[in-house]
Amino acid sequence: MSEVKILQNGSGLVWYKFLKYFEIAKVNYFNSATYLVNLISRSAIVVIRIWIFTQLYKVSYSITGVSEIEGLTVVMVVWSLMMTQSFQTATRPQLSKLIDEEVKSGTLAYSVNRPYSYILFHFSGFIGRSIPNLFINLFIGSLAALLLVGPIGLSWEALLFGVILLFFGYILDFFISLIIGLSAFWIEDTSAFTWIYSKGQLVFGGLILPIALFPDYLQKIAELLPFSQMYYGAARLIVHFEPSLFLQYFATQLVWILFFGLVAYYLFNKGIKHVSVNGG
Amino acid sequence: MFLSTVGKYISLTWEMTKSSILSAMEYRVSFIVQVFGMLVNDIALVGIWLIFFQKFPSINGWQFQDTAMLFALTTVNFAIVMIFARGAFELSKTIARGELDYYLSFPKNVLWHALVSKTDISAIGDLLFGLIIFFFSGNISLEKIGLFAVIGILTALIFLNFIIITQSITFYVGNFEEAAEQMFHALLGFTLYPQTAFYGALKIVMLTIIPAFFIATLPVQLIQKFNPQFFLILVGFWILTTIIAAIIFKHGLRRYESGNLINVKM
Amino acid sequence: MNKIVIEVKNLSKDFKIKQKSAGFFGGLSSAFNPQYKHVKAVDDISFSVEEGELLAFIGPNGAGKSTTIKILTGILFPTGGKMKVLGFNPSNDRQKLAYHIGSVFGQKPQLWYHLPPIDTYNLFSRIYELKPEEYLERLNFLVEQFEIKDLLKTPVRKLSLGQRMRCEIVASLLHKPKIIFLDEPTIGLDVIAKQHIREVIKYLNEKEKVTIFLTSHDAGDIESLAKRTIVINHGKMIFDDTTEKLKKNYIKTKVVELVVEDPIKNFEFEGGKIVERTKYSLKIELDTAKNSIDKLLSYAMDNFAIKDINIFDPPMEEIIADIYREQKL
Repeated sequence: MSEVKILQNGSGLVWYKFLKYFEIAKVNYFNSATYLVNLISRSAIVVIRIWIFTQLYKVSYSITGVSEIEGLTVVMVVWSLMMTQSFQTATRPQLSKLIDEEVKSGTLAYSVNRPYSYILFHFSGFIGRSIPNLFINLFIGSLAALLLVGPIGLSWEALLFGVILLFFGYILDFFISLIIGLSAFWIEDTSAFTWIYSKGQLVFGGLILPIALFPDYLQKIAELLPFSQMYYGAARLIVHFEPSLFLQYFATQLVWILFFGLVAYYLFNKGIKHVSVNGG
Repeated sequence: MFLSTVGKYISLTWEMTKSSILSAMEYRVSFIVQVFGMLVNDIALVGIWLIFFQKFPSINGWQFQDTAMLFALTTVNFAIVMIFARGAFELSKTIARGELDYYLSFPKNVLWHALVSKTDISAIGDLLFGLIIFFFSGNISLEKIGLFAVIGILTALIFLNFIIITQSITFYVGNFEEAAEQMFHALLGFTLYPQTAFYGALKIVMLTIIPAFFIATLPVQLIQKFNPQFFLILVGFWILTTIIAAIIFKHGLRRYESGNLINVKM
Repeated sequence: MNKIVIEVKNLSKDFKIKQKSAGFFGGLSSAFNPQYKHVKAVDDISFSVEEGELLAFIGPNGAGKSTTIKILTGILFPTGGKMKVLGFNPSNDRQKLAYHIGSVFGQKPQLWYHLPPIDTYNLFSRIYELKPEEYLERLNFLVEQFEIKDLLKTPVRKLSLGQRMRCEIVASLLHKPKIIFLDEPTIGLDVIAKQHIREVIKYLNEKEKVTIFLTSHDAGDIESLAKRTIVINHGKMIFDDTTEKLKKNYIKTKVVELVVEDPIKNFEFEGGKIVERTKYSLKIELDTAKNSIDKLLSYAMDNFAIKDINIFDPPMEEIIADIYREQKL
């Protein structure tokens, strides 16, 4: 099989590369933005979910007779859950499925000749799809949270450092999803991995129960795992900023990003060779 | 006459499902991975609640055992639907792509045929999980097992009706696939919370738009402590949802057959 | 006179298709103020079919063929007109009618892909409520006739297209239908497989008196199988007569493609017009009224080093265009 070479456009200027990826992100943006009905129904579910959390935690806290656990009030808990969920659900439809299909259909082998452009291409798509969903989720979620539990105090540091954690959190999620998708080179059905991954996020990603409310020993373990470092970390930091917490979370993120980034790069190269050997 | 028709459809359902499972077994590894993957999946879900109840041992009387029973019931009735009527989840797609034509060419009820033509193998994992955790959720008596079976099937049917109703909206609105999927996830997600935590307007929402009450709260209560009036309410809700589902589908099918759907394949 | 099994009077089908504007705001406006386009897919057609007829129902894509068949099988409701299939009104008695008709759609398989045909057959026997002894007798009979004994236990995905088609046709015959709708049964098959399927269809019709309603884009299918042809275009019936007449009046040319060893310099043949030419091949359109294919072939083989020969019928579109032209005169 002769590889099809994609002609990189003449001017190797970084600016044009950036524009290219920006265009890709834009296409993905408009693709998501037109599904009005689906957006609305999705939002309705977000609202109901926040409503449930509010009642659940209000009742739970009042029964336990406390107003604060690990420094978090009910208001903070609800806002952090809203944010964690908004951050995470913005990434649907799942990247791993997309990549799985690309691998299975063989378009992967024909679309790239260099791993970093492939990875960047998918990263732009990933971010491009997530951004409109993210803003809509946050907008609706914030309105709901405001109505149900009232406002929380936000400091500029909380937002700034939270956004940093969020950005790197997206990168982490991206790499892991990419790896799962790439495993399609060797495994028939990657959906099992996708489930395990999303369950890991559910349990250890603080989507329903904030990690701060875990029993101590479990909390420490959970904070070291990558799941909590994608979206929970950012949300937790925003509702109740602590400088030491930022450093801890950020360091953990970077370690995991490095690890998964390398694995993704390695798997990609190995996978492409695998396809070339088998004749695509 | 009516009973023999019902009997025929039940045995045919069994035949269809068997064929689907045999078909899937052609891929041994994938089959096993799906079943065990789902088992692990469900254990994780229960895991969160185990952790939650360590911090908050009782929510207005609702304890971990109740959540365990809840999980047992919901996974079992979900599994029943996914094994015997998986087509329900793809009804929206089937309608939008004109694939009902295929089912219309057979001398059998179209809705039934569309429902039973597909099976979800991973649901076998759900079924296993549900049965296992049932036996871990407190005092088991023969009576309780019988009750669990009956109520499990009843709630499975209510759940099925809900899916049929939301998916059939595609007959009228078109491109409702994702929204229908969302509503399903909503129902599934919401039923797994300690139902006693809900009050006021939210309780009403859970009761009607998202019938979590009828698929979760009430059945669990009935299994723990049987009450004939509540049982009748459950049966009544089942009858109601069946009628609504039948009407919406039948009416929608007429629309489909007149060819004026938004996405019509000529 | 034979029984009439299909009777269609002034059948019409109109579609209202929603016009969607492009872009986000277009989508919004069409949600609030929908514009509709009216399409007459079937426009006042009438015909009747006797028991045991083998009739071809042809027309270009979008002509209304599939729509008509869907109406006759009860999948679609007509907008106007009357019809009776085996005494039933398909729109009202779709399920009852389904017990007596069979259909094979070349592009939509009925056999379960991962299972061997026998599993689908067994399933069908249950769906059509066939008595076990009758079913087995019928199955054995069909298996022998269609020569699929060795294919019964092979998963469908492992069968060749020709083998699959034979098995598909058997599936549609298990319940002894009185009418079969065959849609593109030979599509994608090679010459030998096509021949085989055509023989099988002919046998069905002659031996079992099954009424066959055939749609195909393959003029060869029609010529060799159907005594009667109905041509439909833009929803209207523009021809309803014997296939002989269709052939005589409208299939007037054949295209012969010759592939040669050495380039042809001069090709002169009465009635033969060169329509395409490359260095090593030649396409000749032969007017069959002026000369015959065998004479052309003899001429070609006597005078040139022929490597390969292909013979094509004029495309269906051309035949229909001719009919149209004739009608307008």
